[in-house]
Amino acid sequence: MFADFWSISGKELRCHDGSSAKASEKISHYMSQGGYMLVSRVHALLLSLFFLNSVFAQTQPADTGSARRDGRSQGESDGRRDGYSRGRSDGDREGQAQGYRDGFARCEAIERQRAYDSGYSDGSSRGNWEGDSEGRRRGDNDGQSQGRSDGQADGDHRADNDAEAAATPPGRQLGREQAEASDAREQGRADGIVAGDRAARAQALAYDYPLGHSDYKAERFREAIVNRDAFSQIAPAPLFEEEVRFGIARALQVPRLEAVAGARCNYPTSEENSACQDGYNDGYRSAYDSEYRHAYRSAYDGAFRSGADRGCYDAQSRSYSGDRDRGYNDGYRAAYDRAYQSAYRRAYDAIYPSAFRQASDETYRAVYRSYYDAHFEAARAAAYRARYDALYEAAYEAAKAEKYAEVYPGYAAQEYARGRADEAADFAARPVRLLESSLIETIPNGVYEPGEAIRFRVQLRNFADAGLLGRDVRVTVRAADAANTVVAQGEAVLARDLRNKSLTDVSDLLEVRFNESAAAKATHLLVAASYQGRAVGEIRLDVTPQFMVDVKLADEPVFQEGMETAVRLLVRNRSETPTNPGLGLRIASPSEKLEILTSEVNAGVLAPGASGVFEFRVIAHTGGNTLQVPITFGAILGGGRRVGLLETNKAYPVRNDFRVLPTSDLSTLRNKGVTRVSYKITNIGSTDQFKGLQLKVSVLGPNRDKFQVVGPNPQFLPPMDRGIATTFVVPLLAKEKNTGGKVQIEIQEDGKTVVVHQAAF
Amino acid sequence: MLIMKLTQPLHNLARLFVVTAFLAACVSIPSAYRGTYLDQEHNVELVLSMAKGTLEFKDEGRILQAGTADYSFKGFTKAIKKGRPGIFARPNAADSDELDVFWVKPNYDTLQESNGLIWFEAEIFYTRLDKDLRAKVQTLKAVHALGGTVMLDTPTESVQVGWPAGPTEYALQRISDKAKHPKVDE
Repeated sequence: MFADFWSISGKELRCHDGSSAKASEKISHYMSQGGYMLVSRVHALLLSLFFLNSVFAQTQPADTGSARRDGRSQGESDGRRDGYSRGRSDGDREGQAQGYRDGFARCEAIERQRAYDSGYSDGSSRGNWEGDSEGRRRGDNDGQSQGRSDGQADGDHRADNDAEAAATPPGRQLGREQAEASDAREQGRADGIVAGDRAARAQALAYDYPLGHSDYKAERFREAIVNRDAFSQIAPAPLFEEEVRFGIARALQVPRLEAVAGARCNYPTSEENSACQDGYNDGYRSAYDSEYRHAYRSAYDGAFRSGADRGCYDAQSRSYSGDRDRGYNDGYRAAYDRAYQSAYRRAYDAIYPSAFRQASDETYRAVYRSYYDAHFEAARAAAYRARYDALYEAAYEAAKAEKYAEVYPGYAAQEYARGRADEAADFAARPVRLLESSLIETIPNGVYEPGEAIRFRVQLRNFADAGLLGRDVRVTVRAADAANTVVAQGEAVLARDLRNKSLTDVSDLLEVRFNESAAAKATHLLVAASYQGRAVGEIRLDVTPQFMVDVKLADEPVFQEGMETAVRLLVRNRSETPTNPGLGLRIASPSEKLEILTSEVNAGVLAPGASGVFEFRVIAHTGGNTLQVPITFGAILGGGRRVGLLETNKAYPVRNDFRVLPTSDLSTLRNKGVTRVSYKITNIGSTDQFKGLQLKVSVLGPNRDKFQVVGPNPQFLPPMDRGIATTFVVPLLAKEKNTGGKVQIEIQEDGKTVVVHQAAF
Repeated sequence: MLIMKLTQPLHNLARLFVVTAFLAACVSIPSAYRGTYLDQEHNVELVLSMAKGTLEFKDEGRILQAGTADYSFKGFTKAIKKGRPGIFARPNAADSDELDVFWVKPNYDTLQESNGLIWFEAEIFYTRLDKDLRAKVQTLKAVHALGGTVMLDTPTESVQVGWPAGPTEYALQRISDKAKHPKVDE
């Protein structure tokens, strides 16, 4: 910006042709435009004075070369002076500072290390002395203490072992002798007698008492049946599951230099003044720079050495007691530990053996006697117990056996008689027993069918010498699977009396029916009888209800969307009687996804065990890979009775070579106008590369006449490779607003129908 | 003069680009398929060169000749305006190494338009070509149908070419590697 100022001022001086006031205005304007600092404004004032001088002094030929040389000479002189002055000053200051820092740091490190080493040496000496002293003292104490402790344990152990060896044999001997002199034999015999009596009683109760019962009962059952009866309750019938440095730039503060140059150059013309100033500036800068560097370096080096000496002196003057203390501590610890360990071990080892030996012997002598006494008593007591037990047991067992043999026969006879008497009393209270039960079909074909009335037959025996009233004998039935069993008649009293000493078969009792959901699940029924409220028997009857006709799919159907598919049913007559000619097979589903073309097929007559396969024609309407809807197959006899049932809700595969689905909203088809229906077609399984496709669209339902396909119908598509999908559009015109229907699209591959898709709107 | 010397290579480069783009857009017949074929049973001869084909129904004395074009909405729209047959080819959707080739002779008298659809009847000859084959192909399978349709859907700019059931199937045998097209009066 300064260079710009000189250039512009010079131009104005050369081009000036007006009054001085105008030039001053321009200069002032320039200054204000540039926003210079105060120094710049002084320059502006000086230049204005030059300008006025040149205007009023009139003109002379200008000698700019001489002016430049003079200016340069002045500048060089000033520059050398200033550079020398400033260089020495800066070099001395900075050299002192840097030298001081370096000298201080170097000497400080040396002094610190010296202090540390001195402390370390002193600490080491003291640590060595103290460690040795303390080690010896502690080692002596510990060795003494541990030697005594270990010696005591050793003495105790030896005394224990020696005493045991010495005391055991005589202790045992004494124990055995004491046992022989005891009352073991007498006590054993007394206890044995009591036990023998108790065992005889228990045996008689556990064995002879039930035997009395069973013998009596058997005798009763062996009695002759005087009367054999049979009757039906109703009627008779058969039975059945996550900084750049160096102060040059700083010294060349440009505004200050320009002010000095202006003062040195005092020529009559502005050109000469300008040349003088340029020369001054160049000379000043050059000389300043050179002199500054030389003076700086010279002053710096000396000052550095001086500063370093001073820094070092200061560093050496400081106290390093902290480092000395640190060294002292380190040396102390290292020496102490070494001396301590060494002295400790020597003192310990010196004292331990003697302390051990002394303690061991003292202890041995002190405890031997007590150990001896203890072992003696232990051996005596053990021997006594063993011998005593042997004597006792021998006497006990002999006495027990003897007593058992003595008293058992009497107890046995007594309990046997009691058992017979109790059984006799029971027969008196419950003179009738339920012996057998079975099921009776009401549709006699060898199969207990859902819905069929099932009745029961029971066999009762009256042991009394007198006849029993039929109303005192009650027969009941309970079902294990109550949810799937209807108990039509759960209890009954006999319709007739039972004669004395009689065996009576009662048929057509009670009534149950199984639901259809019970078919093929094993279950059971419990039949029970009572006489005057007292149970006289219960019998479990296992049963698996079955339909007369077994119905299942002959094979798993594979559907094709929109195309007729055969569902094959395998039907077998599992009963013992032929089906009647009116046996009909039916298929039903509540879902619109399955269109049934053949709802019923006549199976004709099926002989017992015979089977047949029958077909139903159906169409699947689904865009998915599977069809999962409820389907029911039934076998119905002429009279409307269902004799076979298959209910399925499995997912069956739907496999077409092509799949087609609408990709646009069909609901607008209910409004009047044209709807462009978009479809996506995918080749799922066709492998033929040269067969084109033909697409035919129609509307189904009662509103079909209100629609018209706009555009070609059928449309044609080129061959599609397997796995490829494409889209096409079918514009449909609804002639008026309507209530909806179905759009059906039939896809043919070279004339053969491959999929028929229906979509409701 | 100097300017002309400098721009001449640029003109040549631009021309080459246009030609290349045209060939790419039109899809050329792969070299392995160029030559002359005959289906003896139907007495039909097929001549294929890089960008042109001739199909001669000898028993009928009828010749069908066309150049290659791209199978696109613009391609077919252009063909309709010209009123001439074309050999439309596109990469096969399932196998990019193969070309689906539709030789279409339109019957523009049947052209209809309604609700964004434009359609017309056409005679169609369809075959598939493998772009990567180097050895000369000896046999070529194709189908030919008279009652096909071409349908253009203007909203989606899609093209749909197809034919009814029962097209004639050709088993064409190479009889020459040369592809000399007969001159046909248009």
